[in-house]
Amino acid sequence: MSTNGAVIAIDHLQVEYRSRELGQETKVAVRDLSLNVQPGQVFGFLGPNGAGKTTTMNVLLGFVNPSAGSASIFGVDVRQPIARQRIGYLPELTYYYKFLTAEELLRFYAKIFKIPKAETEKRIDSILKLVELEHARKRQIKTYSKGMQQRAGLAQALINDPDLLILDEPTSGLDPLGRMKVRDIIKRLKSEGKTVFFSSHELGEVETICDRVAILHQGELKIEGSVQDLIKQHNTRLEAIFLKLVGYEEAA
Amino acid sequence: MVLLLVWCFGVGSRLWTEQIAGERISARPSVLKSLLGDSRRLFANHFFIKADEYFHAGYYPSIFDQAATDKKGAASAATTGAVTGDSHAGEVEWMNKPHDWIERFSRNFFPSDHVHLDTMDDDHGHDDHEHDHDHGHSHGHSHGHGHATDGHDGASGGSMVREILPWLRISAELDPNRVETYLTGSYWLRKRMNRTAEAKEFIRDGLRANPRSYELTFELARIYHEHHEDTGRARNLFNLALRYWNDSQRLAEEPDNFMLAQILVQLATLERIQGNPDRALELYQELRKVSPFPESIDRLISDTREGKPPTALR
Amino acid sequence: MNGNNILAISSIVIKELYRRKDFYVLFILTVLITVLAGSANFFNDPRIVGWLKELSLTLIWLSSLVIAINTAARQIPAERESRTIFPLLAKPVTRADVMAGKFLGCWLACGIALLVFYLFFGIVVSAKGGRLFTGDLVLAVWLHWMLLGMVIALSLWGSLLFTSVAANVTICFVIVVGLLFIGFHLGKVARQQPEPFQTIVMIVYNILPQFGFFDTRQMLIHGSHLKIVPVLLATLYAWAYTAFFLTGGWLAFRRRALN
Repeated sequence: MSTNGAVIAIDHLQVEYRSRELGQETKVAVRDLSLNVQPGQVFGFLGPNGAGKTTTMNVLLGFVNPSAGSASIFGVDVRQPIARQRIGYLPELTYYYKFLTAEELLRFYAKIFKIPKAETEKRIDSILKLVELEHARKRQIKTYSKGMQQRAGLAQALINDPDLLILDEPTSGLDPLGRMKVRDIIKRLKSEGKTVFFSSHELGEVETICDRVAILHQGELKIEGSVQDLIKQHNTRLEAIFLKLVGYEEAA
Repeated sequence: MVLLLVWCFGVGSRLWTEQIAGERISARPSVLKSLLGDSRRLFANHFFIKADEYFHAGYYPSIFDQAATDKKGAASAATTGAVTGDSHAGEVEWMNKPHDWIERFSRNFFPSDHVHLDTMDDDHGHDDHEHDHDHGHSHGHSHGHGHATDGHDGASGGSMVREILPWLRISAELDPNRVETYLTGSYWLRKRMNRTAEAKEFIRDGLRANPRSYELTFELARIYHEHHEDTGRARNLFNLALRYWNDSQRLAEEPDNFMLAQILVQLATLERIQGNPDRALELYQELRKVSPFPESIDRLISDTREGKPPTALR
Repeated sequence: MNGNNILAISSIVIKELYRRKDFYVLFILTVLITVLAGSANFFNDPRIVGWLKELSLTLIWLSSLVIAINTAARQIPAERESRTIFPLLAKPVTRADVMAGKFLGCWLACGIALLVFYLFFGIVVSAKGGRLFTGDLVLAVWLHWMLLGMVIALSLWGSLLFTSVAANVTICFVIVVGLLFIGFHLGKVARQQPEPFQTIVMIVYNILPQFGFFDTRQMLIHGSHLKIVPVLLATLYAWAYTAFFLTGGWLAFRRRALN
């Protein structure tokens, strides 16, 4: 597989978990996964619960070491901390330091990226405006609603002006308005030329904003391609393709 | 922390109330008793030992040191008991040559010089160059039972001794039936701090909790005799002490003859001062039966018969 | 390890300490108890100060241990529970940075807390007319802080070994208090044992950190002087154990799954 210029390059990735319980078999979370994400793409990473999406993301972020294969970001092995210099990550369901304000939270992460003070303040202003948290910037996060917390999370992911955003189910648990706001933010990031790699269960949402998708089931890559091509090929909506690939049709 | 707060509140409010009221209430409901039950006796003992630890300016053996000292067949553990007025000469050094580097190094972090508070005063730090290392000296602080004094008197020295007093007071609050606490407190108050009124008040506290204590009555009598020079009242109190001793000790398996001797010798002296030689002789005869030195009692008897004035007893 | 990351992480820990109620509650309780005790009248002698020093120092020690153990023990479990460890490690931050940052933050935060507590102690003793040698007080606070360094490192390591924060806090508290009380005496106990127990207890005695080197309360209470050389040696001793505990914690953290 050619990885020329790919932002994310995953090559024959295998992740196995050894169970601590005696007699339990080793669980294969990701099986021989190869994938490339090109600059400027919004890439949807789909699959039912337990398909291996989060595990793959954990490998990309250096949280989990692969059992076999390799993965790189901007050509740097994901096991190197420097690989994470140009990425922004929004994990699923995170409760940020509740004793901090949004401003302080962003200042903390900016410090890690060694962003100069003046630049930090400028970025905080623009990011908080983007995620619509300007009015609550001096309030402690513990007073935020779930949607506001998620947007604060998105803000922290953007503080280093990343070239690649990895979003793990960014709209999960949000009300329709919250979802729409997050979707809008992703669209704006796309328009700014950012690469976005995100997992989601919201297939309608994926269809609307993604350039390409990959569907994972039981650790295996079932399909990968541009959203338009897949819809054309199967002559149906993305949701139907997804359900067919995960075996829902057979069961029915 | 909360328990400590409750305890502090209990002790604090009680001591504060006393200060305001100016006098004690005899039949008081004890918060401490309800809170701690019989375990308060253990705490009382702990605080009494704490007073001794303070007397030695922190130079004090732990239970492990005491166990090690006992194993070596030494007399009572180290310095324990010095605060009660036992002779310092009887104390055993518990801190010997260090066995290992930890023991040697640890001595830099806790008081490891054997000093007594009564050799220190306010302006006397704990500097190695300053304090007296005369370990063998016998300051002979009495048990409040008529031992000889050592000449350290009142505010002239040893004003740091006041630091042991809170522990004695707390110990007495926790276990009001422990007579030794009152005697020790009274000794230091009147002998080393010239605080006779406080000593008297403390003994009276003890008497409220232990109304028929011959030791406390005797101590009170001594205060009247030695500090107020109220011979009449002192004589009455010595008589009362003798009566209490008879009530509690006469039929005991091992009667406290030491205290009996103390009471008799004091009382006989007062009778002689007051011009009652017959009563004095009667008491000396009693004393002769229990004294380990009957020949010196014979001398007192012959002095009384010859009408010689008594030597002042302090 | 990256010093910038360590400082950034430690600043969050310090912010957490002064924005949480733990420190204030313990400080107010200490003040309340000390002031209440200070108002007690013992035989009409207002110059008695030793017992107040003892009480105040006991409370300070108790509070400092509670703050140190509680703050350190919840750091990494809280990061995992709230999942903030993910965005943190998704940045150019290593687990060693997290470990060192958490340690430094807790240690500095406890240092600040100690200064506040000892300032209060100094005020109380001075108000009662008691004597306190500034040099001894400074050395005593320093040693206390060094001890807290070891305690914090131990709690951080414990937080990666035990599944619940409460279990870790309890175990750490028992270990620390146990070592403070019996650490020095294990040698005496060992010498009274038959072989092979004597050798075993002797080895344990020499291996365990002697927290008693850092407890100089009796020196402060009774006005004894601390010497600078033993204090410096004790500092090196504390740093060695702190480094050992932190390394243990880091190795455990490296092997541990994040969720």
